[in-house]
Amino acid sequence: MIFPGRRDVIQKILPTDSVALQLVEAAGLRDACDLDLLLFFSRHPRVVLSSEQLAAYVGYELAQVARALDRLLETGLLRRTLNQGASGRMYVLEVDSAGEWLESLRRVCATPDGRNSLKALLKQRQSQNGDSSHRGLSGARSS
Amino acid sequence: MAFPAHGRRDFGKVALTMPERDLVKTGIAGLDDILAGGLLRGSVVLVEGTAGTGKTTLGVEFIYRGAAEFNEPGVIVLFEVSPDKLVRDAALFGWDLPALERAGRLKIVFTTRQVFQQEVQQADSLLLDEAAAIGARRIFVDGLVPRTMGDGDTRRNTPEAFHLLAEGLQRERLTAILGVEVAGFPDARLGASLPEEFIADTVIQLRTEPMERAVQRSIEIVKARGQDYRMGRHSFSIVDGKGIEVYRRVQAPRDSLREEAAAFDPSTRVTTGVPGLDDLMGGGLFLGSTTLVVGITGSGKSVMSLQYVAEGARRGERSIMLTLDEPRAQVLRNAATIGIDLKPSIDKGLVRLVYDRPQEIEIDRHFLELEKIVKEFRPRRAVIDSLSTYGSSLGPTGRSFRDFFHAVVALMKEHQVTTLYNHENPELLGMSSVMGPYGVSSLVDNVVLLNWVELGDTFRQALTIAKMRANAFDRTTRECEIVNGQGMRVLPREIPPGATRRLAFWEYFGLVARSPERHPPSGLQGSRQ
Repeated sequence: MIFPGRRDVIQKILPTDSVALQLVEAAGLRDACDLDLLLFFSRHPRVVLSSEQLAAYVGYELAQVARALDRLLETGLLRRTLNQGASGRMYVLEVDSAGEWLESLRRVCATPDGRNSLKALLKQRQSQNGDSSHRGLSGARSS
Repeated sequence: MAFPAHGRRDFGKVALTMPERDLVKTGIAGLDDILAGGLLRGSVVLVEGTAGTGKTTLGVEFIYRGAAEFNEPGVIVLFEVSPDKLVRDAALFGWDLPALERAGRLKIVFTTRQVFQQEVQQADSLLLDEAAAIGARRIFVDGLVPRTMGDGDTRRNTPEAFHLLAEGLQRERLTAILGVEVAGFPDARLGASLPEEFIADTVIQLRTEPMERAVQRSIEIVKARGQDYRMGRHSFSIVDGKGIEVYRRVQAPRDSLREEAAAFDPSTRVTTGVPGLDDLMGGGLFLGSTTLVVGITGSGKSVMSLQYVAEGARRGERSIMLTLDEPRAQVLRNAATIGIDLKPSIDKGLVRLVYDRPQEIEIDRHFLELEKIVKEFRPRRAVIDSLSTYGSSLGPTGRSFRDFFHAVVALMKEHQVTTLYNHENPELLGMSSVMGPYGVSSLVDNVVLLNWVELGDTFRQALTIAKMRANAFDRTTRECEIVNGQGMRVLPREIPPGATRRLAFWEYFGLVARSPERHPPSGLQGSRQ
């Protein structure tokens, strides 16, 4: 639980938090959807789901999840197998290729505070970079 | 259902060769025993139960044992439990699922019921491709819902949907365990079975059943197409660091060898270690016989037992003493008070003390452990202390106590263990019934009654052999005494002149009938004969 005023504190200290920055860089995360999707796959390294079901599980809009998926697939961290005529796609997180940072990321995000810290950092980086190619947290988060 | 034994069989002049059954061992402790060896390969097995009954644990252990111990890779399909939680929980049992995944022996797939249903029905299924990639022989699907198996859409809730699922699994020759969440079990007599149960090859039901204020887990195989199995509800535990342990119910039919061995050896005697008692018995107990020692608390049952065990040790014979009443330290202390030091005999491996707490006793597990001890330790003597405590735990009504006692007697006879069963009779003076509501005294070969009798202002200890099967024995009630540092001994019928000023028991009648009276002087001589 984040107490009133805590979020500001977290946002102030995050840019100097080299561990958080390293994790974000290592994972190639650009927004909160990237983070939550990666965390979902780290908990479920091998899934067979439709795109709609995947979006429902992580709680973001379909388009946003699709962009995050593309980025994960580009890094080679995620493998996708399509099956013609079926709605389900198999996604396999290549855990071995992730290295130690994935475990560190999981540990940081094991608490609400840790996860929120990273999300705040991602949001701050987005605004600093003026990145308008994707909406990240400013997008229509379903929750 | 019991099928005839498979193998070569002759029908007239035509010799037919029946195929040997290809059984898949689950590897779950005790489960293969009640499945008569394992599951038939390619079976679709429903494991039904309400929440918390152990379906997931059973299914995961089936996959884990297959991959780790039987070189049978497996797939776990989850709908609700996230794989990382499953991995975490499995680690509590010592099952390293990630290591199996890294070794290419396991895949854990998270999906939805809808996708799973579509996948299994497709010839080029992604999921089944994944299974084939590691050469999977087993699959566990966790969290199916009855009558909505498949996609959960109530419009398509038909047995056909499940039939298609079963066909898909069978096509891949996967031995499948499907964990099915049910709200409860209908009364079998009403015939309200799930449609899926007719299609599945094997149906296993898991329950948690209240036992007074405690809860006991039970497992029942209600159907196993094409194979034999042990019917009835067996108990099981989920043990940290191990997994599931199934304990065959005590009432289960015993080995035929056990029944054949029921007759005791009428030529070999086992000495009791109580001075004077063997003489009353014509030389001691018969080897492999069953003896009930009955008396109120303090009447000497445990003392007699300790002397019996010590006598065995003195002769180099192994003994076990199974006690529910007193922990090991207390037994050792009690023995010391009558001059018996059991510790050296325990250290030499001649005596084994086994204590189990009577509160919430799991009788199937308890019996299985006793059976294991008897088979491994191979005692010649045993003491069960006491039947009344088993009775208190299991209740005098119902079959639990009686079935347990039957099973223990049969076990001891099979292994020719001469056994004393102590039973506490609540009556302070005399005895009007040997075992009260526990009507099992007909099962035993010998009955020894230990009584208090009140003569003058003194309680004196009396011993009567009330029954000794196939043996002529002394039926007189004899006085006995327990002396600190020495233990129990049966006194001679005649009290030596000058030894004491009290009268011998033979000078009374009605001792056990609670109304002792002295014989009139004129009848003394006659009654002594």
